[in-house]
Amino acid sequence: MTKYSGYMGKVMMIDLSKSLVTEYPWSDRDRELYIGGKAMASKIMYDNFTGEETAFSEDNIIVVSTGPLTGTGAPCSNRMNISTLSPLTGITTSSNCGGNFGHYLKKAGMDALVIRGKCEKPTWIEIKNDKFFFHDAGDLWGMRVTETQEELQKIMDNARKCRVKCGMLSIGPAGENLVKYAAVISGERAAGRAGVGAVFGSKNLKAMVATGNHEVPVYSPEKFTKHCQKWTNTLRSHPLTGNQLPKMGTAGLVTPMQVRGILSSRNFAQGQFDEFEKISGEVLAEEYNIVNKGCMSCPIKCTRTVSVEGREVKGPELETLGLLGGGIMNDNIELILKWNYELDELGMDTISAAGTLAWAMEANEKGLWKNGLAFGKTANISKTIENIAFRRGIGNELAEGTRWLSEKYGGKDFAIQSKGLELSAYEPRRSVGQGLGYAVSNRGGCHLNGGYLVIIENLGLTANPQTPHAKADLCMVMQDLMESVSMGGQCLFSSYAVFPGFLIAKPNSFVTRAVNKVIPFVGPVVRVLNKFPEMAQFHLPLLPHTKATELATGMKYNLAAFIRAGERSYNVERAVNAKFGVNAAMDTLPKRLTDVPQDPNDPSTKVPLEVMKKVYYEARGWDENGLPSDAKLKKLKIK
Amino acid sequence: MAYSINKEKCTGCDACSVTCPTQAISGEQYRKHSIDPEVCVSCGLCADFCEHGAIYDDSGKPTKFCSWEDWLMPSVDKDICTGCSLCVEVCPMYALKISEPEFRGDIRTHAYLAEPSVCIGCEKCMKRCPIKAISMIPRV
Repeated sequence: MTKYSGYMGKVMMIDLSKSLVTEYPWSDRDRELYIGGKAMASKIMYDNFTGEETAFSEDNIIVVSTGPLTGTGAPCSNRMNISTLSPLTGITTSSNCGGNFGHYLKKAGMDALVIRGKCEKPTWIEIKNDKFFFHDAGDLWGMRVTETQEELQKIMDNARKCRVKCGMLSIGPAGENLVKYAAVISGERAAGRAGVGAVFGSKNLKAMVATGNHEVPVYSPEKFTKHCQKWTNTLRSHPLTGNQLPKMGTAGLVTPMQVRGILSSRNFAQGQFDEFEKISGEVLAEEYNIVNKGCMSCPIKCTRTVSVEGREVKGPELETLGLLGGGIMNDNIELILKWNYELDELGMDTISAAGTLAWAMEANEKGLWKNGLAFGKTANISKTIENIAFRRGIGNELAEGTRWLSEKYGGKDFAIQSKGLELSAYEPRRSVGQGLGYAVSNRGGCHLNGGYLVIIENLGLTANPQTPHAKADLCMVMQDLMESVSMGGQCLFSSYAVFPGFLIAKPNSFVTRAVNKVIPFVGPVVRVLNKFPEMAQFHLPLLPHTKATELATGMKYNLAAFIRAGERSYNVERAVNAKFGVNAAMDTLPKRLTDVPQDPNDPSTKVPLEVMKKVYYEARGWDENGLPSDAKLKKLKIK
Repeated sequence: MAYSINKEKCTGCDACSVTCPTQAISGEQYRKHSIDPEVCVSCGLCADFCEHGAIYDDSGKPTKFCSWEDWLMPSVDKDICTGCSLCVEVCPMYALKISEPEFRGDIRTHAYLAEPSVCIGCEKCMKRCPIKAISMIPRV
């Protein structure tokens, strides 16, 4: 039980080996410090992992967690987080997803699940108002994602003799066959990155279904409604969340990325793709998009829907367009729509799959590994994707990811991964802060966990993208900001509005140009503010998250607590990683990005990683090995 | 929270159990009925149909029979609604839908009452809407 609203007050531990469910101790003090979502999951992993576990061992745990705002109706709050030890990276990973499972988990009366052990045979779990039922999933094993979910819906409906509203998580054949970058899918939304689906598969857990009739309590309902109304209006009037994302989705970034030279192309050898117009957000919106959809409770609705094989399905995100487009030198958008659908149905991360294919094409071109794949050759991609999911032929090796392949065949310099996780579509040599983020990110080459500085350097503001100045401090602040947003149960896009609209809408105005000029010099100021967040005992209008959390939970929460919580979350995740041997030597990028300039005539177009890394560790208060000390962990109340 | 049945007043007429959209009510005809609190979504349809005042709402108060002509139905303010689909998700009768775009590139979709004939006026959509874009109006 908890004294705070917004929470259901229960975290349940499921031991799959014993089919036993017990309550996991999670106190109100834990709620104050870690709020929920990803931070909560990191703390649970910190308390449970010794450093001996591996991704597929029985003692690996999966934490499915929600935030206090999940299910309250706050804008963009239908998010849940899945954290575990990744088979792809060997360290922690967290994958955030907008599917309905989190919402229904709270309706079933709990905030989070901690899953450990391993089922003897394929199993699916039904969660119905605090009760757990373990069902045989022998008939579901081998089914693709949509088929699985439709079958589960039928089972639920037949049992009750009416239509039952429920949230689902399921894996596809890729997860069952332990593809290292298999995803977990909820509805059409994917918790895609770093192989959480493979961990489900290793535990013989095919799916989970949650249903219930609990209501999420809100501490101050009237004030909360007024705040949500105001917040929704802010999001709808902002140029990014009210115009660009609804109009073109994340795909709308293809064109600006091309213009700024950060659209990864030919396995990150180039930052521009000549045929970008054919795979752009404009083409997707004008010729293929059927209707904008979004996660529940989202006023932005960035999801595209397209028609594939006569079915209305989810369209591709920017990362998929970039990596399955220019990344492998394909300019046929219809093929991308089809592959995106196939990857989702098989339950696989589109980013890592595309990154691995691009590496394999280059390895083939360079004669390192004869595999039949080639840049621009699209005829065999569909079959290869299926072969990966079922681990047939070369698919069996491609399923291991880029790092494993480059260790086996050579070609590490162009294996575009960090800590084993393939990079997203943002080419960092013309966005060096993003490059730093990719390298130091806790889950490996992730654009979001890396701080998403690309929005300050290229896509929102345009502060000098080649200078390392202030990037380390900004990277830290942005990482912490996204941790804090995420732990409340919210989509990261809700934090876009932190950049005042006029700066985005009028990029050539005097004020915007002045801000862009000043940003490289704000490092020391940011660091001082970040050292003493206690000064910020207030709510910032640009960050409605803090007030929403306070009104929903009744907990004292403000900007100061928000900043500290983000820092705590990032540090506790790093501390878990430290148990698995992460250190400064692992915060790297492939040599293609750090040693080879994107423009041969401009030596500044590479990532000056070592310079920024040193400053980053200083800003974080970590030692030169890139690890938080005991004193730091105690100061943050982690130990 | 869930509705409940006062056993003393219940006549076992079955009016509630045949209408319950989540099949939460059980009991043989002419025997006392009961509501499964795990399944009930508090839509109140059983209360509207019970002529004996045997249904008690989720705060424990007795309810009254209500003829369908007196049921209200939702009206969505298109300018406020963001089409976030929380109301669609909460509707026990699947009566609400999100509108299709009016033209290619239309980003202002909204919820609407697609199936007025199945709407039971339970007000769950109105209560669930986080930005109060839904009001209840008399059935025309």
